[in-house]
Amino acid sequence: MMKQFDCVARQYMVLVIVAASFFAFDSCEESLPPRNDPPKVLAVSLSAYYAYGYNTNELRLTVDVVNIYDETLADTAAITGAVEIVWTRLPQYRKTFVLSPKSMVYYHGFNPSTGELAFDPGDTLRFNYAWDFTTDDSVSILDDFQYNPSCPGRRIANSEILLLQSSVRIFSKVATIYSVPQLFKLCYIEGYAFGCSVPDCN
Amino acid sequence: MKANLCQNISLNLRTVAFIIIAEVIFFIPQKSFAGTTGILEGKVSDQAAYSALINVNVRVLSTVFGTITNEEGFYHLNYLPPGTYDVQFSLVGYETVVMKNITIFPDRRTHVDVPMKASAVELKPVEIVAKRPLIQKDQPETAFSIADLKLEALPVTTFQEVLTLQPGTTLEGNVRGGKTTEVVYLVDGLPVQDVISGGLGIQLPKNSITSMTIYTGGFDAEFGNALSGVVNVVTKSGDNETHGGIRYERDKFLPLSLDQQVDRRNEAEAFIKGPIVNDKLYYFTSNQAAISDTRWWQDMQYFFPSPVSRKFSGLSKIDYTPSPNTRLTLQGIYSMERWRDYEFSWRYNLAGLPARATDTYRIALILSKILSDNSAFTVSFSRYYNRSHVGPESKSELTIAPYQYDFFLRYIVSGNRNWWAETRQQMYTLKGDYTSQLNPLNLFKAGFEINQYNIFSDLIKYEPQLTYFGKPIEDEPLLNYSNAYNYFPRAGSVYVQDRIESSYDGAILNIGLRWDFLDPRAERPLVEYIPVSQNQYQQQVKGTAKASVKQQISPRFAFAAPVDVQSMIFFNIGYYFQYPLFDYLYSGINPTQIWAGARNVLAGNPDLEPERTISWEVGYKRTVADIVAASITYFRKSTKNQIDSKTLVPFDSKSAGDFGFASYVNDSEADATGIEVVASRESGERITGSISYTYMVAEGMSETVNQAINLAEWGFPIRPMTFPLSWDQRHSVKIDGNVKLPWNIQSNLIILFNSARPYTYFPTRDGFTPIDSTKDFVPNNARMQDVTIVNLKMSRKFMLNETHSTSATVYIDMRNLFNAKNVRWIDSNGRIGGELGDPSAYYEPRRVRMGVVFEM
Repeated sequence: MMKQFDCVARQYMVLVIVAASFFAFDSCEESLPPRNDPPKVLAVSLSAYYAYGYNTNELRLTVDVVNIYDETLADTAAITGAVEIVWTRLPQYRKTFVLSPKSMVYYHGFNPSTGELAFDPGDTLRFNYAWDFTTDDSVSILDDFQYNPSCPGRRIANSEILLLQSSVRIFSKVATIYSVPQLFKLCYIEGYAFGCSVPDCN
Repeated sequence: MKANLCQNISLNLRTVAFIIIAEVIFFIPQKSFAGTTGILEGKVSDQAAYSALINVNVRVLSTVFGTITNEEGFYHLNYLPPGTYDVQFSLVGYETVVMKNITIFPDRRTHVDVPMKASAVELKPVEIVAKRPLIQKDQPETAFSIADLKLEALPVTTFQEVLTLQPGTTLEGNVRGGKTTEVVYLVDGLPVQDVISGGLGIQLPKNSITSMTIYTGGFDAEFGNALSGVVNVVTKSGDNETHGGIRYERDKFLPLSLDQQVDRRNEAEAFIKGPIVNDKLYYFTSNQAAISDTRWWQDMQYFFPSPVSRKFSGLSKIDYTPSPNTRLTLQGIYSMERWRDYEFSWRYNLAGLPARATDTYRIALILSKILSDNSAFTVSFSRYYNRSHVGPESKSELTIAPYQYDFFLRYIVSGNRNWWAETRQQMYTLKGDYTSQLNPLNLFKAGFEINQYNIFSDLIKYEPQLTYFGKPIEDEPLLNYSNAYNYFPRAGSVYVQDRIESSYDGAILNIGLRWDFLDPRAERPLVEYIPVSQNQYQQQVKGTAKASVKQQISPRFAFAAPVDVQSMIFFNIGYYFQYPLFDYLYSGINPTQIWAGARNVLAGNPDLEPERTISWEVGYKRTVADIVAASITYFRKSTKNQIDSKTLVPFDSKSAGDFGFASYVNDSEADATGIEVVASRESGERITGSISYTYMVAEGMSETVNQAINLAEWGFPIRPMTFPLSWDQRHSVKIDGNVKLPWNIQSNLIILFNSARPYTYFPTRDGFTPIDSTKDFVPNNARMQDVTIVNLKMSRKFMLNETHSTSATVYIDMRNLFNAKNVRWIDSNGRIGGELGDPSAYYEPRRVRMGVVFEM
């Protein structure tokens, strides 16, 4: 019986030594976590609407940047970016607005004289732009619309699709963020005339 | 037949004889002496005739201890230092017998009966390995004794870790649902607590310990100022045999590119003992040095030179025995540590965390005197000194300024923690114990202890105010925890205990009574906070009130009785109490400082009462198949007067405004209950060990002394309610297995399973407000993950020179063998390691150390 135990014990010991060696050296990595800055601290959204009236006829765009982080981000603002409009039917026609502090219309926590920005959690920075339907090359695209002749004295264009997108950088330590590209349906209306009904833009 | 007998006898002439598992009867009953010595006794009889043998010479080899048997064949040796001994029994006309490996534990009476065989021929001694009894039928408490040989085999680094291997304990050192500070540590019967901050105040070299006794339930009136457990460490002494050795171990053997699972640890120890004058004067010394770069070496290396952590400890003893009845011991212990803190959020600015240093010294003079065969006393005098330093060398080098976070407010990238501290504690202890065997069935013991303290603290500490979720509130001023004090409290105790044994069945009745006192020797300032504007107060000291002397009577009662030959029951109940840490008494109450306008966030209270526990347990033990001892124990503890803090507002204030000021009060309580099931096998050729299962519930109203002030700071309502404490570990299984492998390899396997402990789940989206503000803050409302740890230590001893007993032992010590990622903490959002993924949220990964011990 002792011999049997010896045999078993030797097998056990070999197993233990092999297992111990294996587990001792199977994976000897133990690196500390790398420093990863939080992936998303700001969010940007782009909205647009067509404003027309007696004295107004333009596409108005609003860029909202929200601090979605749970801390106040404070640093010297390094605001760069752009809002881009591309006419999908005639993509050579495009308009780019460059973001700058001058176009900010809402900026709680920003000191224009020093350029310091304390961006609280949940706060919004807002940039407004108005497009007068001229391209970056100062070409008017109004003549390229296809108009509905039903109302004399007034041009009502068929719907056109514009691609709107924006990119924003607020701080040098935060990467540039991009809004979700969106398609905007525009039905240009020229002039204002009584007695003409304006069809839905479809 | 006769020829065969002669043949057998001739075979028995070998020195290392056959191993007989002899039927020796051990009683390891009563507590006796000063916690540092034990008794060996028994009866010697003729093996064939069973008659008592008179005048048998009994000698403890390599010591001066010896005696002869009386007319009834009994022998009795008092005041044996704990250790493992060989004891020789010789009588003309009989074979000399050497009982090997008799382990003497402190406060234990070891009973060894010896049968001797008549022989006309003088032969070489017959060696018999003594076997301890499976159960100690007259032990009415829960205690675990570990001898030095076992300590050497365990995969542990410090002796505190041995506590965590016992039933009813957690990995952090909680015992039966109590706080870790409720455990008292004694070295040679004298306390070694940090009385300002709590915890153990000293370290010991591994080879300086001869035995440890851990009491987790029902400790006698001899032990006080403890609520949960007592750990009594007895250190080695010199004897007539010169023996020494060196030990070295390390954990780094491969380039770091191949193996990162290291602390870059090196440890060395040297020990030696022997006679200065044979039979009169002995010495023992052991000194250990351990250096490492810690688990965080990958970050530490960018800020600090190696080694980051340095620990030195040593024990030296001179024993003088002018006669076998008198022993005078001069003992010195030192322990020094230098290290740097590590916090993950500071990893890019670790130099901003303060340097830390601790120095501890203790010198003791112990006189043990045997007055007669039945009585003895021990008197000791010791001076214990502990110094703790935080921060730069000089206070003037500290600049108070908020430290700076990175852009994302996650890591601290510049600045220093505003923390400088110098604390010193001195304790002079005079202790005496007297023991008298009034009659064979009645053992009486009495003792006293007087402690005179010198408590000094100079602390500068400012911390930013944080939300519950750990976010700094930037517009709020720094919280001031600074204070300075110097007090000279005094404490003492007197105890009596009587142990009565029944002559009918050996049942034991223990009755004890203990009286303790604490004189804080301080005055409590009577402070008024006069509102000067909304939310602003001016402190005015209107007078002082002397803190009263606190006294406590603690009765203890225990009973044990055999049920049958193989089983016994026991029951004990007792009142236990513990005085508060001195920092809770004295911080921030210096009238001069208050008058000068210093305002402390949390003020001490010198009139704090001791925390009190009523604890009882009932148990049943039996032997199974003559090789296993099994027990089942039910325990219950109820603790009152626990210390917490309370915010106080002056009665003439206009508004509460901020959280006012706070002080420590006794207004909390906790309960613990559980069942421990243990099976152990302590003797065997190949396999010994134990397995235990504990079910335990630990609930209370407060788990830290700062709980109430923290809740006020965080804006949570304070509702008195009971919740599971952070150490409420419902299920735990501990396996401790020793296997003697072929080729003389010893192995010790430890498997610890601990069920999930609680944490508080209270998520936030922004770090300032909870996601669901309609829900109340309920502490510890969720559970983490189970924890399983496997440790293995294997060793092999090589005899280099049999004549000079020179040997080399090689060992490999593997902790967390399977590299399990065991969770230690989870933040309130349920994230392991918080938003930074702090790796300290896991217990230490696998570590493998190899070492060698040369002895001669």
